[in-house]
Order: sequence, then C-alpha cells, then structure tokens
Amino acid sequence: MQSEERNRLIATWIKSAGRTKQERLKLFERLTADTHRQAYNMAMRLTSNRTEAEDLVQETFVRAYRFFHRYDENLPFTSWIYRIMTNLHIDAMRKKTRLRTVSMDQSGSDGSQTWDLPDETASTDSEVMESTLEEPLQLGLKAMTSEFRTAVVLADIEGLSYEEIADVMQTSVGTVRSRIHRGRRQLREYLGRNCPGRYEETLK
Amino acid sequence: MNCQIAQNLLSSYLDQELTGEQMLEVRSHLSLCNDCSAELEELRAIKHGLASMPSPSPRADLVPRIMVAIGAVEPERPSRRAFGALIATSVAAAVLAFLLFNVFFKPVATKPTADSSPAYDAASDRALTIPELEGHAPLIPVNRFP
Repeated sequence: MQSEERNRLIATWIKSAGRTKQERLKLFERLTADTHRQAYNMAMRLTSNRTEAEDLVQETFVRAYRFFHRYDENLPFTSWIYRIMTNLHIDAMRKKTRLRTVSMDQSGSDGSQTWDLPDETASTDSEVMESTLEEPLQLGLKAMTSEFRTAVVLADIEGLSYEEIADVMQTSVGTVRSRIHRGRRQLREYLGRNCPGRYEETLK
Repeated sequence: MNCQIAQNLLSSYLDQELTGEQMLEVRSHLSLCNDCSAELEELRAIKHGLASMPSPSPRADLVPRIMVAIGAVEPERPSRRAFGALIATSVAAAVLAFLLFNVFFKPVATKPTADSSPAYDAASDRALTIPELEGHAPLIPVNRFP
C-alpha cells in the first residue's frame, strides 16, 4: 500500500469514535513516525535552522493532533501537515518582521509583502550559524519572502503540482503561479548578487 | 507573444503548468528570442539545484519529543457553538421542507370548490381520508346546495 494511502487510513482510524487516549496516541505516533522526515525536510528548507525546524515540526504535529476533527480525509495527510506548517511559519515570519519594523507599506497583488530582503543580521548568531545549511541555494531561500519561499519549496523540493500547492496554501492556482515565478526570480537575483562564483557553479 | 508576457510564463512553462496552446506559444517565442531562452535556462538550473539538495536527517529523538508534547494536550472537540449551529440549520431545513410540502402539495389534495361551505369541506376531507371508501362514490353528496 502506498504511504499516502496508509497515512490516510491511519488518520481515519484515529478519527473513528470509541478509541481510548492511549490507542489514539499510539496510532498518531505511527502517523508521525511515517511523515516526520518529510515534515522535517520542509521545515529545514523554510527555516534554514535545525533548532527552529525541530520546533516548527513539533508545533505542527501538536496542532495536527489537537485539531484532528478538522482533517479532511480527501486531502493527503502530508498536504494537511504542510498546510499547518506553512501557516505557522508565515505567521511567525510576519511577527518577526513586525518586530524588526521592516516597512510593509507595499503589498503585492498576490497578498504578499514586497520588501526585497529581510535583515539577516537580526536573526543570525554564532550558535545559529553553526547549525545552518550553508549551501548558496539555502541562503537564497532564507532571503526570500516567506510566501514565495513556501511556494517554491513545495514545488521544487516537495514536488507538488500548482493545484496541490494552492490546496496547501489555501489560495488560487494563479497566486501560486505568481509566487513561484517571483520566488525563483528573487532566488536568481540573490545568487547573482551575493555569491556570483558559487552561483555559476550552481547553474552548471 | 512579446518578451514581457513570455517571461511571466517561463516558470509555469518549466513546470508544464500551462495549457497546450500556451505551451506552444511560449515555445515558439523561445525559438526566436535568446534573452528569454537564457532566462529559462537560469530558472531551470535553480529548479534543478533545489530538487537536488540533500534531505537533512532529523535527530533520532524527534518523534519521541513530539509525542511527549502531544501527550500533554487533549484533542479539541468541535465547539458547542458549531454544534448548536448544526442543530439550528437542521431544524430550519426541516421547517422549510414542511412548509414547502404544504404549499405545493396540500392545496391540490384539499382544494375547495368555489361554492363550498366549511361543513362540506370537513365532510369531503373525511371522505378522502377513510381508506375503505376508496373506489366508492362518496357517501356525502358532492353538491349539497345546488
């Protein structure tokens, strides 16, 4: 049985009535064990940091457990996990951005804030740098707007179609199309500006 | 198709997320335009680079850690408010169905004649609802006051 089908089945079992807390926890543990690697990969690409990624994964699964009655069995379980994670991540980034008082005067037609690059010095210290992925592409992802980063990661790293991304991000396919294109362009500009040597290497 | 339109469609072209007609239009433009072709190659390299990034492995204790956090919370139940709204909607639907049934079906069964009286109506109603009278002539004259 394919993994996603199995996940859906386990999710349905957990939802069925008459289970004890211990039984529910045991089933949810199977579901978590089955999907946490994908969730962690996504979280690492979104946060670029091991500690933040672990916290994000933990918070995502805790929410999934708490609000299990809202899970729609028609959606692949991993897509639901991505949806929760994406919302948590974008909310966290917005809060962080407000704290940094970056100007948010302009707003794009796809609902995203359009500043060029976040202030990286505000979130990097030596401890964080030690556990940060150093690849130029990861640095470029980190510098992107969170909505664009999420769309690009779902498309290029997780391999989702535009329609699936629209389901995860709860937006239209047109908005997904725009975010992916603008996101890749941001990434290309970042690489060209900040690591031209390694950028050429990346493009080989 | 000009360069501006083509460039906005390059990522969707790369992901094969355009209609067949749009794919052909972009392809036709690319065959004539070096700048757009170069941009497409850069976007393709970025997509390929991202897809080739190694998947980082989580620490072995991540699942136990998550389960400890989950053990400390209780799953939420659909709120009472949502349940109340569900009940209210069901009751409203039942009332509406009852009213619609009465409006569209009952007048046909009990439609009085123009010269009917209340006494006549009551009698004819009873005659219509007694099963053993089916197929027989009504016991009460149809027109009591000719």
